[in-house]
Formats: sequence, structure tokens, C-alpha cells
Amino acid sequence: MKKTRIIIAVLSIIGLTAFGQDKTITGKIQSVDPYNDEFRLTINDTAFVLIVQPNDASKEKFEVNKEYKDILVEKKGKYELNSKYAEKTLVFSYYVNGKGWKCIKTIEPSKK
Amino acid sequence: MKKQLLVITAIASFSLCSTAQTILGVDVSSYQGTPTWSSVRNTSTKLFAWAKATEGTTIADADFTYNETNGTSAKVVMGAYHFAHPETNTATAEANYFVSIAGSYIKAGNLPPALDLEDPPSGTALTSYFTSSALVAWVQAWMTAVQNATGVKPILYTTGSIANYLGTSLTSYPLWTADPDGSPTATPSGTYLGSWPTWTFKQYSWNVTVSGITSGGVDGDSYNGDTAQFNSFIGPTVPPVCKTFYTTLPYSTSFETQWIYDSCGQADQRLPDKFWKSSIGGTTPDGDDYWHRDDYTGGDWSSPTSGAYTPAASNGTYSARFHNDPPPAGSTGALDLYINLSTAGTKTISFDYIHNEASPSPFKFDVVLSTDGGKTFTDTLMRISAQVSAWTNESVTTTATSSTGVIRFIVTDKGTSDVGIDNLSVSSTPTGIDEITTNTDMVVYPNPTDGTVLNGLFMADPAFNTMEVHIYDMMGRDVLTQQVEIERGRFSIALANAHLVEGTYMFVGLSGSERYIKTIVVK
Repeated sequence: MKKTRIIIAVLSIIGLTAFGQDKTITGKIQSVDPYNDEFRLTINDTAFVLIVQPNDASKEKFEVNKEYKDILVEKKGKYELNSKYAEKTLVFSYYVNGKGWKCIKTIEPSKK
Repeated sequence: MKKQLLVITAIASFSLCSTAQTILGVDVSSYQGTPTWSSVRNTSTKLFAWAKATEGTTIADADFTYNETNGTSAKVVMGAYHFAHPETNTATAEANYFVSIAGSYIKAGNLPPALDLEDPPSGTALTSYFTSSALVAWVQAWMTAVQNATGVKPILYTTGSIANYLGTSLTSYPLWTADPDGSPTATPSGTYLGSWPTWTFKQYSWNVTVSGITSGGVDGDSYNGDTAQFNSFIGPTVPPVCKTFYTTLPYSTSFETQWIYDSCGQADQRLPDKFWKSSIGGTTPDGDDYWHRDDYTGGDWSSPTSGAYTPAASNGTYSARFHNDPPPAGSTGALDLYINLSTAGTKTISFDYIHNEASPSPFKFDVVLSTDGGKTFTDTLMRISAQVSAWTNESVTTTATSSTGVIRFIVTDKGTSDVGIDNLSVSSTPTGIDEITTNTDMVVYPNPTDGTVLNGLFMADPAFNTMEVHIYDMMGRDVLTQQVEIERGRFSIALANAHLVEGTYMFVGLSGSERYIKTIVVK
């Protein structure tokens, strides 16, 4: 009985830790591509998705903390990385959505 | 009754919902693990769900069967979707793969099959891979193939930019638009609809929280209509009257492709293609009486390996098999080909046959013909009631003319060995070849041939030593004529100069009043 309780307790802790927690990755944005009406950012050779703010036809606002709403800028009809973030190491928090995409939630400067 | 129950359930659920009458759902894949569907249904007021079945031509979602089975048990209206990779595969290959996995879940009372068309996870956008017309052609081919195989019109899931890129050609297919604005009811803007006049389903979120799904966020969907419209959309829960498709001459099959699901038939019934129907009858019919492709292992057949014949096919890998292990005495299994025989003249039905049972009685295998769409079968073209221990070519002819012809292959009664047919062709016999006086005492080989040579062997020395040979393609064109010498009952024909492409041909040998007709395959 005791053993069962311990296992349940451990599983509960693991579950609480794993579920609902955002993950983070630190790195530089290597490339930006359009992707299913959103944008795919490649960071450390891994694809992340920057979601366009719903109902924003201009696509200038993204679902990310306001300090980094200008992470992408439009030039000649194409969106590209704002030059002020080029080669900058940033910390990205992300969650995995229903489509299995790694969606960027917040961007912060690296403290390194 | 089931339909009424569904309506009542739906209304009851939505009374708990802030958006009354809005029919909500989710779409899931292995990303969501194994949801507790009773919780999804009961605590989240979700009514419908699409489950990912396949991706490309090699990926079958690990949780698809779990989701379909448990979702249905929880009274969630389920559907199956396919994630397309048009940048990698042909539409036909992807459609066939999807149907092979999801086919049995596509039927009235479920959601229609859906094609998920979006940018591939890696690489460039689809609109960079394809011109608009090329992408339309790919999607159209997939839709057509799946509809032909299942009898159900698919719907298209896609993003706004792709919807716009597709133009107007596909707007007859209902649209499931990806518009994750967070609102199940807000009408998507034209940006998301392209040329579609309206939307049928909307993926309003990619990250909703649903009880019973513990993996995290899930896609949320909504239906554009009320409960009555939704029930009408998914169709009745009782089988509708099946549509009949008549093939045209010439027709041939070796039963090689995966048999399709008969969405109008009983649950496990399969058919070679949409031109066929299957039925059982007689005194005590049971599931063992259904014809299937020989490798079938589904719910119709008990002990499917029992009674199997060898080799499994006379041409290719598979054959059509009547599995009698044993059916109750007096029962029948019929496999019907619906075919337009309105062309004047003689039509030849050629096929290979096997039933290796020493004492088959009581047994009969009949090929019978209907000229009134299957209402009556008055013309018995052939009857076999004896053992045929090896694959043997059989040919019968008819001069009947009917645009609603049905050729029925029907087995009656019992035995311990199964019955097989293969290498079937139905064609208009060329003018002048209207009699077959003998056919089984000569064989041609190799068959299939590689197109370089074809040999013949008489079981007994014929009374003649030359024979005029014609090879006809399935359009009835004489593609090779040759006078052959017969020595000690053997002859050989060089085919190389005829440059025969892969396909099925008719061999006709003429000598005096003798006629020899064989179906040959060039591979």
C-alpha cells in the first residue's frame, strides 16, 4: 500500500511538472519563413511558430510579449527578422499546441 | 431512433454551453495521446471529433483506432482526416493509403473524410511548390479517389492563404477553415474563405483546454449550422440506398488493389471497386458467405486461413475469394459486376478459376447475367460443379445488350476448400470471333509475359499444324497477327516487334472451326 502511495505521489509530481508548463530555449533566430498564415522561426535548427494575433489583418502584431511585437518587420511585402534582433541571443518560452507546433509565447533577452 | 437520440443528446449538451446551439468539436492526433472520450463528451460538451488517420503514404497515426473506437463509444460523432504531402507523393497513392487505414470509419452517421492541406512541417510553403492549377489537380485527384472508394464526399481543411491560392475549382467541397480567432461562432473573413461562399467547419483555436485530454492544448472546431443541419450533413445512421455505378467495356481486374469499403453495406463488407456489389442469400446466409480479396482478415470471415487455395492468384498477388469454411448448406455468396453491355455483338467474359476440392457436392459455381440492373438473373452463362485443382482459364460469351448489365459470380452451398477467381476481363469480341468451340485444352505461358515471347501448349496434339493468332488490346484493336507453326502440340510467338505496353490483352487462335481465346497480361 505504501509503495503504491509513493508511486502515485511521484507520478503526481511528475504530472504537475510536465503538464501546463512552458518550456524555454535560448538561441539566435536563424531564419524566418511564412508557415500556414503564421511564421516559422528556426532557432537552434528547430522550428518554432510565431502566431499572428487573431483578427489582425495587418499581421504586424504577434502573440508574444509586447516588448517584442516588432520581432518581425515587413519589407516589400515579406516579413523578416527585425535587424535589431539579428545575432542577438534570446530566451524563448514556448508551448506545444494542438497541432503539435512549438508556439512562441514570450521572448526575453539572454542574461548571459 | 439513433438519429433522434443524437439530436436530443446534442441539445442537452448545448444547454450547458454558453453558445447555445453551437456545435463544437475537436480534432486530435497522437499529439493528444489517448483522450478519455467519455470525459470529452460529457464534461466538455464536445459533440464531434476528427481523428488523424494518416499522413503521406507511410504514417498511420498511432492513436487513430483508439480514438475512433472510444470516441464512437462515448457517442462522439467521429471522422477521419489525412495530412497531405503533395510535395512528396501522388494524390492517388495518398488516397489509397488513407482509405486502407480509415475506410471502415467512413460511413453515414460519421463525419465525412477530410483532407488536411497545409504547409509541410519542413521545407517551403505549398504555394511555392505548386502552381495553383497543379495544386488544384492534386487535391481534386485525392478527393475523387476517396469519394470513389468510400462513396462519401470529402471535405477540405486548409488555411486562408491556400484557400485563396486554390481559386474556384474546388468550392463544391465543403470547407473546414483554419481561422484560430478564438471564436467558434464568428464568421471567418473572406481572407480565410478564398472563393468559397461559406464555411462548413471552422478551426477556431489551436489551444483549447478540454477535460479528458491531458496532454495540453487541443484544436477546437465548430460547425456552421444547427443540430438539424449537422445531422443532415453527416447523413442518416441507417444505410442509404446505394448508388450504382456501371463500368464500360472493356473492363479488367486482377483484384490487386486494396478492396474498398462499401459504406452502404454491412460493416465489414468490401468490394473490388465501385462497380461491384456483394450479397449473401440462400437458406442460412452468414458472414462467411461474403466474397473478399483473398488476404481478407476482417470480421466477415471466421478462420480465414482455412480453405485457402494455392497459389493465391493466377495473375499478380491477389484474387477474389469465396471463403466457405463452411457456410451453412444452402447459402449463397454473390459478387456482382455492374457493366454497360449496350455495345452490339458478342461480349467475352474471361477469368481464371480454382476450387480444389475432390468431393465438392453439393456445390455449384454459376456465372449468371442480368439485363435489368440485377432485378432478375435469367441467363446462366456457365456452371461448374466439379473439382478444378489448379487455376484454369474459363471464358463465356453473351450477345445480350443492356446498359444495365450485371454479371454475377455466385457460389452455392458448402465445401471445405474456397473458391477463387482472378484475371477477369470483359470485352467486346472482335467481329468474326463469335464462337468458342474449345478453350481449356490449350494453355499459353508465361502469363504474365514480359512482352518478348508467348508460348502455347495443347493438352493433346491438335488435328492441325498451323494456327492464325491475333492479339487484341482491351480497346479491341488487333495489335499483332501471326501465323504460327504447331509442332508436337507446341508453338511460340515472338511479341517483341509488337512493342506491347503493360496491360491486359486478348489472345485469339483460329484454325478451321476451332477458336482459342485467352486473356494474357504483359508486365
